[in-house]
Amino acid sequence: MASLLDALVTGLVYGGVYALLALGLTLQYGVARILNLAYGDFLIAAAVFATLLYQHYQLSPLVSLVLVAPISFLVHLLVYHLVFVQLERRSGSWRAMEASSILLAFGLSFVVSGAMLAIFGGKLFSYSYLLVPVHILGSVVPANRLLAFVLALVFGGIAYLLLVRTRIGTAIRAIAVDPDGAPLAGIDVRRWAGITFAFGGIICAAGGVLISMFQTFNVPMGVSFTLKALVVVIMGGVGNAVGALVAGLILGVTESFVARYVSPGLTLAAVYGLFVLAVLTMRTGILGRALR
Amino acid sequence: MLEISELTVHYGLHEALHEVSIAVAPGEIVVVLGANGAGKSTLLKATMGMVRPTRGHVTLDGLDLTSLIRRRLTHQIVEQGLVLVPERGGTFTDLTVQENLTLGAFPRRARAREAELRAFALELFPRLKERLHQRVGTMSGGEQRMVAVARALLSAPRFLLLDEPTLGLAPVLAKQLLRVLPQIAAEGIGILLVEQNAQLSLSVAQRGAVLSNGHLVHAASAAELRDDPAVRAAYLGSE
Amino acid sequence: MASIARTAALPLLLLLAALVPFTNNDFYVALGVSLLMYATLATAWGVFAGPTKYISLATAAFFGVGAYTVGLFYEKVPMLLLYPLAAIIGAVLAAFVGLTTLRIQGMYFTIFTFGLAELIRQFMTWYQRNVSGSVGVYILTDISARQIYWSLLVLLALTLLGSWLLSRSRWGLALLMIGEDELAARHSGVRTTAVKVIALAVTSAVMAVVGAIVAPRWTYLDPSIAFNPTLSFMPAVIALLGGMQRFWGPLAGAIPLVILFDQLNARYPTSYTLILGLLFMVIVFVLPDGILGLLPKLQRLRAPAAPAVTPAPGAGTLSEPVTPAAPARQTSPGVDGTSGVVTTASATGTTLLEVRDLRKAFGGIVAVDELSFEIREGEVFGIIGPNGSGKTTVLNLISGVYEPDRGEIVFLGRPITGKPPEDIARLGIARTFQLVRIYPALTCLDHVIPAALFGGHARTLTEARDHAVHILEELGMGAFLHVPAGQLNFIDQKRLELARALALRPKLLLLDEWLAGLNPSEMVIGMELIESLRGRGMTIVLIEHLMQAVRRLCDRCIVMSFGQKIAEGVPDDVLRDPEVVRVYLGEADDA
Repeated sequence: MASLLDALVTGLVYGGVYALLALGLTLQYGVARILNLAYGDFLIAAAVFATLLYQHYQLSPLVSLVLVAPISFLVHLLVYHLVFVQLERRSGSWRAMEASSILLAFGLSFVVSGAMLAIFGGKLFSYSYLLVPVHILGSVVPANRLLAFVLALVFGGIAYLLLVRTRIGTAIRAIAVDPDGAPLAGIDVRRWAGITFAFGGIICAAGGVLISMFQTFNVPMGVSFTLKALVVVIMGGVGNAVGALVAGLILGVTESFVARYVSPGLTLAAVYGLFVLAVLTMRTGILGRALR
Repeated sequence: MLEISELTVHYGLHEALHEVSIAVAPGEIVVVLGANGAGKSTLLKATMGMVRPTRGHVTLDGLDLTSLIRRRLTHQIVEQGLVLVPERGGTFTDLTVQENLTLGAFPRRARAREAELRAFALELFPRLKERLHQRVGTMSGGEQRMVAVARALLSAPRFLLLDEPTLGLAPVLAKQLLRVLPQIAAEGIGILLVEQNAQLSLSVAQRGAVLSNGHLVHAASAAELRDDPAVRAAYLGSE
Repeated sequence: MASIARTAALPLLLLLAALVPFTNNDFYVALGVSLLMYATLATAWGVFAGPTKYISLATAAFFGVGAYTVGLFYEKVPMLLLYPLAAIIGAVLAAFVGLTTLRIQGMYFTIFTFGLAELIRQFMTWYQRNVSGSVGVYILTDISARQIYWSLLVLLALTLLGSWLLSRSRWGLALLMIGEDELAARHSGVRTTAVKVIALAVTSAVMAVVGAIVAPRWTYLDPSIAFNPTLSFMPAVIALLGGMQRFWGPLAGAIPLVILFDQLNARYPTSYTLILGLLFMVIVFVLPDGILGLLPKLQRLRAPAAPAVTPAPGAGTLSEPVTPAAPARQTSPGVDGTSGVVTTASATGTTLLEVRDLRKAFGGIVAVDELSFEIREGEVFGIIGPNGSGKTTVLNLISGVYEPDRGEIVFLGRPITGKPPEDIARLGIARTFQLVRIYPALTCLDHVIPAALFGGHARTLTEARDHAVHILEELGMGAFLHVPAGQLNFIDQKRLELARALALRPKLLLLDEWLAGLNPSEMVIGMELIESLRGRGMTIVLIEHLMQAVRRLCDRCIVMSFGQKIAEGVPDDVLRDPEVVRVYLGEADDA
């Protein structure tokens, strides 16, 4: 029984972080229309950043969070305008652009992970931060995970409020829903799509720092994170913040249960299982065109 | 003064609009009539930079919008005070009425007058007052159209372009909607209206023009067009 | 002489390549194995991704599956059987991926493939740890590098041959159509899902066999070797660089890239991924039309011995549709017993299509409401009504683009409600689209042949071609057989759409505002064409706004308003109905 609760709580903690990650990705795909296959790699980069700062300068990851945000924003903004926008200008049809954009993102993934591999190789990163046990809901959770969970929800909540309560946030949602109609409301789609992409990058980096607080990782794990974020987005529906939260929690809990009761080596298989389920129960391609 | 001159648009090889010139004065309502495929929508879209014209110019109160049009910078054209309510749309259906109106005031020039314009819009469409938090997609066609026009008003237009606003609306609602236009024009906003509902629109407009196959074939005062058998022929064919 | 040199070049190259192992230079053989391996993977990848534009990022998954087939079973199963086994496993895995993700449009397929290699790698790791006890397999065979080399060479040759044959076959054409416009392809009768899944399965099987052949090269095989991400990455880079317009493009791209890769790997073992990634991005980026420039322009199917007909001087100009066949256009082509365009002789009065209580709503908007009508054989039936009255929705419901919420559609006594477009096309209902959907780079003939093949019941390519030529000539387009459709003027593009629809040998033809946008002289030609079709007994549904066309062409018509039928009858009567007049011209403002 304790083990069940344990798995549940762990799952929820991870789920909260996955939900945050999905939010960033759904912004990038839903608004900027870029399927960022390098998402997980950028996440790892931020995680490495936080780890190194902690290991060499004893800087708390909370400080890293603050530092990494503007860096990530700028990097992503540059990537958007220098790479993807230029691609759009050169493409003939929509289909061709979609294909080119995927391949470019794929290449970007190799560039980012390749750069890190060149410097760090495949070594594992981890650091101990806040390894204080906390008793909650009848089980024991390390404080770092709890903190990560809380922060994930806080960031997600702030992002959600920004999207829903501000004029700019509403404009961004409008772009996701109707990119052709948005200019008629005076919205500069390209500019705001770029800013949104970069904002998604901030969320990605924040997620990376949070994960570094409690999980051991290495560079090749980027792919897994990208995939999990993608699956949560698909399950929850593109652009659906609440859906992302629910789906993220489901994914986290499923993964946790599979790790505990089946085998830790099959967690990705569980993720794929959810993916297949989500796709098969979908009647129309939600990810394909419509966004809300 | 909104001046469209010699506007020509090609879709591939197909000439959709041929050297059409129309002018609208502030506070005036001009209606463009014509059968489907005549080029009416194209006229409005080209004026807003949504499609690229092959030739022609558009000036707004002396400001030449042509380069903005060619570069498809629609949002900047809106910022200048030219606002379009597109065919069958003009709203973000997944957002609420309130959010749509807020977006209406997105252009910077509209922000200063937001409160005033919002009050004006809700006065014209009182039904919306009770439905501010309803998702537009769940509203009836008529109400959606009201939201579209209200939103356009919040963008502080100097000139308002409307593409078949009564499309798909029941006659009573169509009448209601078009009757609002003179009240908008009374505020000094010039209106260029594209419509299928010839009779009704000619009753609110001052002047009218008939497009056929991309060409402007007839222009006259609304009164003259109302009784013109040529207009009827354009829609129902001659027997 | 030049063409003989060209056809001989590739086989000669392959033959020369076969001699390399005899040099007894281990380095060359090893490099050759890498080259052959990547060339085959890239060619197989390109066969699917090139035409359909569905990007698979899972090459490593299939390769690894093949490698592990050998790794796990080489002691129990003879090598020669392991290759087909690997192929089957690869194909089954691909079929699973395809059936899950290729039935819906969107990025699902790519996303699924993105993590697939990683998934299988983790799975294999788990399997080995828990079942075999150790991760990693020793492959101890006496297969030499030379044998691997030659096996790969044979596989490459077969793959190249397959790719070449495919590009000249109807299935290659189907793949291209899917990549250009999947909906139009379905309306031409192409069973798009089946085609995609089979193509994926076959190409993935090839990748698996590559893995199986190469596996013995590594005496020790573990998941990170077998499912190395570079294996998904390199083939895509190679195919892009070499171009997928020609079947040997990926091979051409492989030669410089593999050598480069080999050098990079040797000199910068830690950063070659980074360099490769940058190189890849540069390639995707810098290409003139992005990928569009490299994707296969739709090729001509092999033309028969008949000389290519060139348009008469002046006929190619875009302003007037004048060709040597002009005289045929002025008069309606007479009834021709062997035309193949018509299926029945006259308006016999039997009901061809029946629509009962049809209803379709999109969200809160009811587009079609309790609509019922029937269409009799041989008549021209008009559907008219103001914008937004639901006319195109009706057409979309009949042709299978949408499924109705309620109601039935019965064609020739059989219910077709809810059937997909490709099935309806094959049953004998053809349509044109409001916005002309043609492929600008494809010749006119090549537009019509697929419809004849996939939906028109032609059994061979020759039959389809003859049928297509016949139809195009009948429509007065005999001079344009080999002209790319993008060069045609507007009326001719419309006629091409019509030809494509007619190639399906339809019993019912749906024309969605086919006369829209035509200038007066083009309109005359268009109406005469429709009249000639009617003269041969074709049953036609006409959605139109042009009232003179409706009056002239339609035997009966219905008027729609807000999704409902408000009038039915002979055009002259219907258009005098005050209700109809009101709906079109609007009410006068009384107040």
